[in-house]
Amino acid sequence: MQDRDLTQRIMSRDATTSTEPGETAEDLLALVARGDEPAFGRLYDLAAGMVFGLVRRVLRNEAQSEEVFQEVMLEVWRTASRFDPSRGKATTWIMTMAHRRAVDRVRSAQAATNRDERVAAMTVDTPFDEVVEQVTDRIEQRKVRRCLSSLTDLQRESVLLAYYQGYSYPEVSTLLSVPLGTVKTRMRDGLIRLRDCLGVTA
Amino acid sequence: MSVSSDLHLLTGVYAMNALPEDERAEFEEHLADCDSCAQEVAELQATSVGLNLATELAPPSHLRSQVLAKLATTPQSPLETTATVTVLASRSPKKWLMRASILTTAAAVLGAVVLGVQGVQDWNELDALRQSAAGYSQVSDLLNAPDAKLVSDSASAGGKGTVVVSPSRGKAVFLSSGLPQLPSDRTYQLWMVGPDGPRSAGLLRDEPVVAEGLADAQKLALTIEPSGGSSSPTLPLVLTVSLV
Repeated sequence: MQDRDLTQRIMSRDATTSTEPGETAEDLLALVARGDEPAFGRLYDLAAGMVFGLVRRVLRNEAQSEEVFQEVMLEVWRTASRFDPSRGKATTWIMTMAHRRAVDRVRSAQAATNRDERVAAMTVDTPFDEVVEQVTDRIEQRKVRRCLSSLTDLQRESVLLAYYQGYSYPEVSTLLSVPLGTVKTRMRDGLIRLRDCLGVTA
Repeated sequence: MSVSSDLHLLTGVYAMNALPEDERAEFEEHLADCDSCAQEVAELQATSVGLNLATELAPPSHLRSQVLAKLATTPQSPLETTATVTVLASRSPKKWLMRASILTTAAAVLGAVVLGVQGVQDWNELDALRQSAAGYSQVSDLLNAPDAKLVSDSASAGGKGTVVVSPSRGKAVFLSSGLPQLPSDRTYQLWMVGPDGPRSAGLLRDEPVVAEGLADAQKLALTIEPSGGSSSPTLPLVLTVSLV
């Protein structure tokens, strides 16, 4: 049963991590930028669970997720030299890249057909329910859940539809039947509130 | 509402990759000129990533070896700094490609050197061409050293110096391109600079200069000297290339 397999794989990352003591994703990216393949292996072990979790969540299709996941990891290898530590954390850089790739795949022509059906059939409370279902008892995750709960419904739905389902903001506007300008501001307000609640710095 | 404050509201949408393609490009243009937007985008991207802590999922284990196997044939973007260093030790296909591209770079620089002497219609021209050919074989020979590196840096007055160096052989080949033309009574001179002070590596009119016996030299430096060269460098340094 695929769902059980998924559940078992959730959070199994710690068992496979082989990072050297004190080595950060930033250190590893700097080595990877110089063609260090063993360092890439360690970066893979550090980031694969986060990247695959996000890609799988956005795409919902195992085969497509595996493809996009591999594209993302190779993009990390190819473009490691462009990472600028003064502009944010390495994991943010990698995850932003992963999210963009996943979203681009969702929006690609192949996905177009059943996407229209998805928009039509969409019930907007789905993403939040799924997030709640998947969270474990880790402290950060309880915090994420608490912070998500502190948003207004419209803020939360806008953020979750865009982030986890890869909908563009005009699509979110259609789904939620709210004006475009409202979606723009709600996404921003929502993220700002989350930022402050989670205590995130760049 | 002004256009720019309207664009500023898109930070959240952009951080979640929720802009349609055309608007994404427009916003990225705006982002390049708006420090406060860039700061907010960075924070909101980090926030989005924070959300994702809820959904870590290990990929199927066979993907690891599949991805690692593709590294050798996946070229990397070069490091984008003014001084670039590429280590050429491994024999993997990827490194081989890199080596080939460095040879191409070296050939291009040599090409520039050859073009520079084309106006001279006598033995000098032939000599220069011979020197370049000899230099080229020196470069390709040096590239075979297991610790060979390609290092380059730009001169403040324009032009560039490119060095192939092998510490284990104590040897470097220096090639310049685009340096300002000097009056006939002046010449460029190359120096090996180490803890014991500078030692001459030769005059640039015999380019490419092969610097042998590098010992503990930390860098190569270029100066402008009287046409016969000097026994010690005349400041300022036109260009320095770090070897370490």
